[in-house]
Amino acid sequence: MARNDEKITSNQLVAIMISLIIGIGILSLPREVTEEAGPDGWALIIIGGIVSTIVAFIITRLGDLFPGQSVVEYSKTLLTTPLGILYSLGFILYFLFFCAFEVRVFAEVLKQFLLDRTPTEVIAATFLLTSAYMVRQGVASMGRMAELLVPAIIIPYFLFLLPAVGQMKYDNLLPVLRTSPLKLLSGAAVVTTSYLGFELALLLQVYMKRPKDAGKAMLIAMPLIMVFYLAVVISTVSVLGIHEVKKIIWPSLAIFRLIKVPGAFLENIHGFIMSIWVVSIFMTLSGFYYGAVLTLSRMLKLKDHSLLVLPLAPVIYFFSLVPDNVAKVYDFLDMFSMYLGIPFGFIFPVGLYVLAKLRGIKPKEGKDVEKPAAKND
Amino acid sequence: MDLLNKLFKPKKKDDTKEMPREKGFADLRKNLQFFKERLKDCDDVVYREFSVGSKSQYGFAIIYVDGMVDKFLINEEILKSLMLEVTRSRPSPGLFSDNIYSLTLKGAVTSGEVKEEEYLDKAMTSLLSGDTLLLVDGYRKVIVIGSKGWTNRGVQEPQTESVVRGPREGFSETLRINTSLLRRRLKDPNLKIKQLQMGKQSKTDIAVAYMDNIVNRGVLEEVNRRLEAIDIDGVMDSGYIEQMIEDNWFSPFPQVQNTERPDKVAAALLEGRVAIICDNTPFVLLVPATLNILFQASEDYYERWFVASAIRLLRYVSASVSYLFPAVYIAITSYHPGLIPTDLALYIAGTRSTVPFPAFIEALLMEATLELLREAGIRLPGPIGQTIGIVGGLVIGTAAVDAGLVSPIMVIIVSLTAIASFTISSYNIAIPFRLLRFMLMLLALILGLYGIMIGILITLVHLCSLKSFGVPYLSPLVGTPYYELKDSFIKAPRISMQKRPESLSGGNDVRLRDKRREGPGKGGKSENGKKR
Amino acid sequence: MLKNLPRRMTSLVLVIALAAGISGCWDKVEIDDRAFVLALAIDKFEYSEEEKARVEEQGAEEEQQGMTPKEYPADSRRNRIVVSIVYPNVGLLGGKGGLIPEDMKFPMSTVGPDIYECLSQLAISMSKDIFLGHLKAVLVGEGLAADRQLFMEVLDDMDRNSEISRNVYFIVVEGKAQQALFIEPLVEPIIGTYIEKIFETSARSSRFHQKKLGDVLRSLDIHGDALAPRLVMRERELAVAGSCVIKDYRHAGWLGEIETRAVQWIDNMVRGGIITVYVDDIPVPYEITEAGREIKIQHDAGGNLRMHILLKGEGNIVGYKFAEKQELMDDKFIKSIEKAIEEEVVAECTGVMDKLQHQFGVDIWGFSEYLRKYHPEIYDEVGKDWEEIFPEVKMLFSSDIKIRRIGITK
Repeated sequence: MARNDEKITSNQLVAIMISLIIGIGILSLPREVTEEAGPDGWALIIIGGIVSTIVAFIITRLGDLFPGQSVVEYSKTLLTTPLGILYSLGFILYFLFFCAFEVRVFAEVLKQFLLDRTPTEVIAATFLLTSAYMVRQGVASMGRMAELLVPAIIIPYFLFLLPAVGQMKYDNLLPVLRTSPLKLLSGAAVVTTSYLGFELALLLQVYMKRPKDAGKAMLIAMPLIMVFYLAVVISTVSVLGIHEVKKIIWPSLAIFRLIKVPGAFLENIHGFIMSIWVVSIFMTLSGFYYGAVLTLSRMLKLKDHSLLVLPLAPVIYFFSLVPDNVAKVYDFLDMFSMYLGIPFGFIFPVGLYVLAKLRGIKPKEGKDVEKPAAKND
Repeated sequence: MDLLNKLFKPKKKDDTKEMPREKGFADLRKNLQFFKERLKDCDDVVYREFSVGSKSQYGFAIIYVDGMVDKFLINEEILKSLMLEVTRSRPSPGLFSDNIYSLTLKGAVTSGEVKEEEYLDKAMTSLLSGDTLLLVDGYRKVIVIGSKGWTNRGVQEPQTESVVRGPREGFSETLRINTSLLRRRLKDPNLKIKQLQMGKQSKTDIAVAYMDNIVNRGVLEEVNRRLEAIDIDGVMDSGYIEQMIEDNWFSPFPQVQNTERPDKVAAALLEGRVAIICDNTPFVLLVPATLNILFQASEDYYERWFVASAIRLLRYVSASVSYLFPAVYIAITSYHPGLIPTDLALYIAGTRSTVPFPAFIEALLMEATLELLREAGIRLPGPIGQTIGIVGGLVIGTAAVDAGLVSPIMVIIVSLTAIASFTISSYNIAIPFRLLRFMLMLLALILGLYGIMIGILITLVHLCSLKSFGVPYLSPLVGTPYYELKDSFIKAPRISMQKRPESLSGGNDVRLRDKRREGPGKGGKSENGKKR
Repeated sequence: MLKNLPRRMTSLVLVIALAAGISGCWDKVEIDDRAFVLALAIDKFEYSEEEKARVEEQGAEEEQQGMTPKEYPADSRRNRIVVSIVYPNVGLLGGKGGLIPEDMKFPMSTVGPDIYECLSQLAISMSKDIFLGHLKAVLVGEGLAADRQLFMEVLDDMDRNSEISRNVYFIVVEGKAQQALFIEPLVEPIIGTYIEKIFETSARSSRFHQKKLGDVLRSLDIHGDALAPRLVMRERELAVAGSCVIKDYRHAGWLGEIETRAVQWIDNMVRGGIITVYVDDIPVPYEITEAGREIKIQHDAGGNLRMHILLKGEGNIVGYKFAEKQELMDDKFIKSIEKAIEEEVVAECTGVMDKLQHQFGVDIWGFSEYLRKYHPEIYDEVGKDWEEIFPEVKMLFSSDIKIRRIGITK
């Protein structure tokens, strides 16, 4: 019995998407949007959110056209076999790079705030191994984990934010919408990369109890993420003001260094925010890691993906240690988002969908479709 | 998964099971010879030969194991009825001699539980489980008369799960009494109690109980499959079975629930779970078991929901305290003193300034002492055990603080973890938290708060991947409809828990109706329907 | 092969963890091995001539005795700032006898090019690891604050540090900050917590600027101007009183306690305090319970900017004169006192505004930010040359004071 036999519910897909997409980007997100649009950063989040929701929905429609197949299989149908293989290989590379960035930025932030003398290698290796353990357990365990952790990430985050409400000066968000629309649009292009991760649905839809629900799940997950991003950006900007947000590398963490919980047991809550954040990065890393492993195992037509988990870990580890310093990390990240993120997240899936529609492919109402999942399988 | 599959694949039939079955002999003497030979040096077996009939022309014999049988029953229902009453009655002689066997079976023995047995070795098993064998000369078949009657502890209050409110009956060591306790609670034909024997030597009786209309078929089949796969010499306690049927034996978390309380078992059956009752032990196994179920106490359901919810929350909190506290202490004192208020940090630094050990060793020392005290307390008889706990805790704690070997904060933390782990409802679910605490302490030593997070994540991943008989271990916290959360961290008011947990039961969802609130229209209708 | 993998994984992780445990614990420093620096004082390194002579003499003496002379030549490139720290003797808090020194606290000082090098110099003579996570106050000497270059370096050193909390109090000391750490106050022996307590308990008096390091840095980040609280040293006590005006990353002057309150009123930061007005030569203390302000900006006929600032306050009269004929319990009289207070408030604010507009030429309040947020069209016009325009802006104050209660006697 392969671990992937168990299916996930649509709630779990929502949870996986939320925990997957909210990752390292959240730390620098307020800075990025403020750099692009000043106090109108929140508008970028909304534009980016809407675009991503649409693309995410298209992805699930694409999946609906090929029931029982993931992108690895139907890209061969749509693009011819060699191009399909190339596409899958690119996809793997994309996932691996994403993992590498997660690991690296994670290690950098952790070293900066919690463990400044612990070697990056140790932090990266322990984190990667823990994630490998998660990935080995397969998609159903990951779904359960996500369902468990999403409330554990979001609820404490807002709880810790409560004491900051007094320090929020909403006039920091003023003036409203004085940025030119053109600038907003070009800024949104940059911001959409912080929504990357939904393309994992290209693979995960196959593993759903009712694959047809994937679209609905995406329509729930993406706006929720947008709301969370909005809350983060608005709270950060309103506490720190746009000048400081632009200056601080990880402004979302910085606001927690300002907050003092009145009469509480804690002096500095940023340590605890870090812990929550470790969890959120963990799920992001595991998601992309799983994506890479899954793509490869489907390409090789393996029944059990777990054999591939450990061999990929050194690859991610190696990639993650390539940049020399934190500035280089973010340079690479920008390049990566532009040349791999946007194509694999937005352009290619939409392209595939258009191609499928042009070819007039209709979903086969075959045996794979809507197979009622056995209870408690 | 694949691992499990391999283990539960049907194995080659064992040689012992293919043992040639001895059929009975027509000669009484030969039959007796057989038993005497087999039960050589078994001096607790009693043989009694006697003759029946007006002229004492028919040879009979009974065999039983002394101490396991009800002697009154043997004397009154077997010997007396055969030897005296049969002689007095005078049926037609022709029939009599032909059918002595069936007459004995149907007419003479006045005992209630009688069956016939063709094979001698099967009869032997019955004999050794307390039945009496009646051999009739000239007949191959053996009459097995149920005469089990040994002394037992009786129904007493359960030792391990006492309640403030709720029934005080507990299971005892006799299977029959245990099943009767269940049957008394669920007087429904749907309550099935299927019996089988386990253990090549011990031949222990095992009963699988479930509600036929509620049980999850998948789970039931899985239980039967796993039980059948057990091949063991003896079963001394249901713990043997638990360890043979659990999903993952590398896991520190128990995947099978055990209880001494019949009310708990009955409630579990009504949720669609399966009970495995084992002879000779008061502990009944319940599967599937999830983390949430193991955290519940039967009292939760008897108390009003407000109190029950508060206590449940308390239990979850205390589990995390027992799991996290020492590790957090290590992480904060050795890595991140910036996280606690300045005054506290200065105070801890002050009290630790004379302590010669690093925080990890300090914590390890105290936690190990605590585990020692606990173990000592359990092994010693009641009152002494408690004294050990108190004296040991007080004396060692105070002395260590006075000597400056341990900081007072550490003593507080160790005591807190101890108390917290005692509030967890069942003993076996408290254990993994106690053990994993040490793993967490080690991780906190190496990587501080990040180490703790890694430890928590590893534990969570493990819990998420764990299953008990196909049911995810963390349900209903994950992967189930949200109404099941009503019976998790909190217990919703009884009236609102109208459905059975979907993750456990196999259909037949509705367990109660709120007729009071359904209004006169609906409620009245059904009532009228009933009356007619 | 496959089924052993989970076990192998676990054992691999365990081995790594154990190996790390034996060789690792890179960041581990036991809590009792840390020196909790509660206050950090930074001064510009400068000698007067006599001091220089004294130090050289002492150095020579030390050399004679065979010790390495501890000298800091003023002309060296390395000797730029003086960093002093103070940390408490925690042993006294909870230890039981043993080898615990008797002093309550340990102040130390050294000279170096930047904060971190100074701290590492201090560390080599300490038995503990310097920990800044519980830092309560950063004291900056007047001399340092006046040196733009050094001041900016010091600010960045603190801004970049992830250990120093943004909730630290940032105070400019009149005189040498170093001296403040060596004072032995009567009430609260440890300087850092002493200052923290002053801020926490006396903030309602509005007699000093209540902003913290984070606020000061933010304010400086936007336009290079800020107001920081001022520390005054006395014989055996410290006082936080008034504030220091920082203009273009440089100490520009001081504001008194009343002036500071006026500044804070204009900044909508007043939470309490006492205003005393004289009514018929009788001092009447007025306790502020609530305060606020409203700003209106418009162009006047000449095209110049005009700001109307309305200062609002609510409060109680807490004292008058015993056996005075005029009863306080009289609406008309109360109104007249209100009027007197209003005049006082307007006078205070006009005074401080005049000082800041014309003497210092500093927009402490960040009106440019206010314009950017609420009047972007005006900001587009004036934002770039705000520094020149600000002194020209016409400021009109008005006040609206309410007296709600008069105590328990008529």
